[in-house]
Amino acid sequence: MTTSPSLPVLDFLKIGPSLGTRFPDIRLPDQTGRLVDLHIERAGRPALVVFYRSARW
Amino acid sequence: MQLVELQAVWPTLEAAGVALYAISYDAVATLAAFAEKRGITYPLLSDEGSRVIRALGLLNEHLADQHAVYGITTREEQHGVAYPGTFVLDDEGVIVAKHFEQSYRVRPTAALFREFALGGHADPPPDAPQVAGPGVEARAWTDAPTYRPYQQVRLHIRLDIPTGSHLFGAPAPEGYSPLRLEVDTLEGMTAEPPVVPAPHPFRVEGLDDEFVVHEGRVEATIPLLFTSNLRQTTVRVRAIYQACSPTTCLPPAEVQLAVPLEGLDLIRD
Repeated sequence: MTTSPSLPVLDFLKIGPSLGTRFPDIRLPDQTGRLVDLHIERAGRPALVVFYRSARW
Repeated sequence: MQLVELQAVWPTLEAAGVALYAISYDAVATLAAFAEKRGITYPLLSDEGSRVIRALGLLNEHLADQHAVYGITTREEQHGVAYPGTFVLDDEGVIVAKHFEQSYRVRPTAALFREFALGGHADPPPDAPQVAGPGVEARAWTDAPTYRPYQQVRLHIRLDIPTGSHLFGAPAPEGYSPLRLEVDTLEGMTAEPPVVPAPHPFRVEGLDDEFVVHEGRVEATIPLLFTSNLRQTTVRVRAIYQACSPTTCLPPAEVQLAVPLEGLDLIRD
């Protein structure tokens, strides 16, 4: 795959929450419908927070 | 697809005390059906309406541009998708690393997620090809013995240099060959530039010029991207180098390693 000139090259260091900052507080339901508060649920553990496209496509 | 890769690494992360959350704009019912079908046991968080994705500045505003490049039209329900990527949080919740890809089509493997969370390099599998050249022993292997199209698969190259010897780094002194790693081109595979640890300065007693060298163990990686399923294939990598012992420099040499890989079909979800 080659990068086309029409496809902007994004600087992800400037997109989304910054390195060195605390990840924002978020509360979202999981696949069982249970509301998850990310930092409370983490309970002092390190974490991977993965954003992905979609489970449908 | 990366949700399945994450499931493969989840037991390791959980045992190491690392939490894992995967977030998309899908509805809870969609996630429930997917988790059931694919046996996902870690939390899939639903940001239906993309409120959090937007608030965090992660809304993919270039989806239509990306689709145009691939010659496909963006459907209405595809708006609201996030840039795909991973935040690594420490135990305080502070972001210590961000791993994002320019294209949503490129997806990390389980091995890469493991490394995001736990750091370090995985050891080669016992059957990893190895070869001995003048002044060097080399091994090569990939993150996994299989790949799927658009997965980011890394080729690992480990060079072991005997104590007291070195390989020239770039730039090498006039007339000497610096270490170079090259992957033979394959139709349907793209190799990115090799990631090689920086060589360090070296000075010979009684000589004026200083140069840079690799010593001990050199762990390099070459990111590979397969754009189609090549089925059973072999990735050939060559290390071109010149080794010197404390007393002599050997002539420039080359070692070649052939790493077998098996292609699997693309999983669309």
